[in-house]
Amino acid sequence: MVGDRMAVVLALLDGGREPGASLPQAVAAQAAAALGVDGICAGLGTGSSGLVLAWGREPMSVALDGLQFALGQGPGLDAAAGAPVLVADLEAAAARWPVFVPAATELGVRALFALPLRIGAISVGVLSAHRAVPGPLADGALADAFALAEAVTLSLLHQQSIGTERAGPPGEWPRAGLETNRAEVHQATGMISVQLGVSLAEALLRLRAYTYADGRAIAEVAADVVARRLRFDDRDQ
Amino acid sequence: MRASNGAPRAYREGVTVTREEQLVEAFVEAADTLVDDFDVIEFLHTLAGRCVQLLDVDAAGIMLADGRGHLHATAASSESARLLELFELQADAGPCMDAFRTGAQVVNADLGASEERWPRFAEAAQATGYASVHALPLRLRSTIIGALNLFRAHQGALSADDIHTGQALADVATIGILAQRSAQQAELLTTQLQRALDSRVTIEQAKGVLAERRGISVDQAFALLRAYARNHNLHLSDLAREVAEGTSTAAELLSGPQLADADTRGLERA
Repeated sequence: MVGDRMAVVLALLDGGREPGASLPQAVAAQAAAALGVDGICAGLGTGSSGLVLAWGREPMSVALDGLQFALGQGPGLDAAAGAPVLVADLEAAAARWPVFVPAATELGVRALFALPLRIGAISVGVLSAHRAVPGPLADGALADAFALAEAVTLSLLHQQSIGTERAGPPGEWPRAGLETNRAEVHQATGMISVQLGVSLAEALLRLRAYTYADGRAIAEVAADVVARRLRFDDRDQ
Repeated sequence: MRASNGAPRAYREGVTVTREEQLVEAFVEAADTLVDDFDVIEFLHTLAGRCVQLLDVDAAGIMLADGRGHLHATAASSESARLLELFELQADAGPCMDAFRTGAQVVNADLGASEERWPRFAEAAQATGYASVHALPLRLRSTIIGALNLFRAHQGALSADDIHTGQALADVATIGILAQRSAQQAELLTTQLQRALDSRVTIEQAKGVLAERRGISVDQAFALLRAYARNHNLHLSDLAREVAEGTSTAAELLSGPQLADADTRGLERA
């Protein structure tokens, strides 16, 4: 179960916001406090070209992100490949990132936790948390961090689509958990990606946009796609 | 030995394997999870199938909780959409949610008498043809990670022997998911759970990709994925990821007959 403080953060992330607004920066500080770390950030991207900071621009996060990009190594880049990288004691992990670790400890960072931002095979980026004191995340904080990662993933996906024709009506934000626990949503995403010849991420956005325009629950629309009552291409025109 | 018509179920199916032998096999499969090279979703599917073989039940499934305490259908004895829907309905209220929240077994719940307790679930389960339902917590010491769900089409109580065996299988599932050797470390436990849930989402996406490419149902797509993974000695989760990401080179899996135009005519367009 999510802790009380993280529940507040998730409610802020899930809640409706101004059209086109990005993730509130102040919430990043609240999230960091809830996790018991000094700072967190979310970066977009999954490749070796590094991450683009999208949320949480406090100075240390910016510095760590810059280091990993410049050096081409670090926990954040590794987590982008898909698995969480939890480094409770950075100095003990010098063998894994021989250039990054001395530079990061020089900055005063002793613990780093990086979680991939993904929905199945859709990769969005990485959520990173850092702390000046070594040690693992507190009991329950990792579960909180995964819940946060899920909410941030949906928000960033949505944010990327703002201003494009597929974004759908603005002001509506995804509510993590409400849409990611339905099998049909993921099945429909796969089907739509083939129908339109687009990525899974794009397919999920199209599904969401259609849902808003249609005024129905995403699971209902997804069920229509899976049952082949609804197609997203116009091959039968 | 339990059987509704006097013979062990396995015998009725023409397989001369005793229940004890099947049980041993189920536990050996579980022991096999204690290696690095292990596919949790494949293991849970096999285990759900074992429940239907070994217990007097008609369907079985496993629901796991994510970090927010939401339950997700993770594996089932059948991938039929109607059964999966029964699991999904319990994300809000149902026997699995009760077993997960309390850590206690929910056994021999009569669906006809449960309409106040779980109105939506009870109605849907009855409409699908089930008369009774059972949920056994997936629990290791003080940690509860989800529930094993059992459905019966016919009236009558699940025997104490079956409940006991069912709970043993639930325990085996828990150990398999948490990989016993690391269960003391809360961090690894949470990470393993997240990995299982993430694999499940990837499999759903891959089912959709394959269903659309070949013009088949998502249930058929799952059967194809699983058979292909077995025949080629691949992990189901790895294969699903490749199919979902579009990096799979499994030509014979991906390029079946397309949905005929006639089948799509008259469909609503997005």
